[in-house]
Amino acid sequence: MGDAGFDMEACLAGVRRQEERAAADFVRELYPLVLRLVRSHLPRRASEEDLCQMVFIKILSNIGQYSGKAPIEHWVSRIAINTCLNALKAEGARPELRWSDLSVDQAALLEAVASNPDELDPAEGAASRDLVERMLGQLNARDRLVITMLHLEGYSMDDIRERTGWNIAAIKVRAFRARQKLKEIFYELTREGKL
Amino acid sequence: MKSTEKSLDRLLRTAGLYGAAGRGHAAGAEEEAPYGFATRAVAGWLAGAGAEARLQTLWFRRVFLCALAVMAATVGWSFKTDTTAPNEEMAIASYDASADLP
Repeated sequence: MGDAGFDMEACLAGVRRQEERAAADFVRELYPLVLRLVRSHLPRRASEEDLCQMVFIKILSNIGQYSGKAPIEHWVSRIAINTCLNALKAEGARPELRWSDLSVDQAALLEAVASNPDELDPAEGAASRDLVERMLGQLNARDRLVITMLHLEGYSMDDIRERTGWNIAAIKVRAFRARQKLKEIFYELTREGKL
Repeated sequence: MKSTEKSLDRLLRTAGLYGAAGRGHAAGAEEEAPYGFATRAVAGWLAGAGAEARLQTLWFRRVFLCALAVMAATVGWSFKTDTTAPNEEMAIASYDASADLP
């Protein structure tokens, strides 16, 4: 994270005493971590800066609940992810994704992935990510979160457990169901496109 | 459905290579907080903490006033019942009547 010589313990003590300077240092130190998480789980209509600010206000307001047993980064990650999850839930249901809703690039990519057994060109990464995110938009917030962390960001089950607070069995079940739903969406899209 | 599974895997792998950090941002680069962000976040926190304390004071004051009103009403009601004690003869008669019952 940021500054190697940063004294987190002293900073936390300052935040607990409601010292503004310590709180500002704390925010600056943890900003890259929070920003990364917020970008990964950002709802469509939300601004990443607003969501980051909301996360930091929650963290600072609840700093008294941090016991110091786990690394501060894990505790902060959990709050950031839960804040994003709540924002995603608030977005509500999305309209069904149809073949005709896809852009030309997305339709071409879907055609390529459905008809060609070879790996996709890494240059297609951006288009793949866009397409996957549109498909993920059909899932509920928790399913979307688990697929993003597991398949797109390469987190292990243990990492997800530490960052969400869910138990391993629940994560496995949710990941399986979410993947089934994603497979159905993918199948429907390819069927509609007659691929 | 098996081919759907494999196609989906390929799509997820390629999307994973790109990653969230790739969306117009340099992968792996640590971005500093924008100018004034830390100040805004801290101000939001302090304003929230002050508002919470004010709300709590307001809540306790309201609860205290309600408790006081209930106490006054209870004292008033008990005083009223003491001064208008039931007719003793009637009370004895109704006790006798119930004691006579088998």
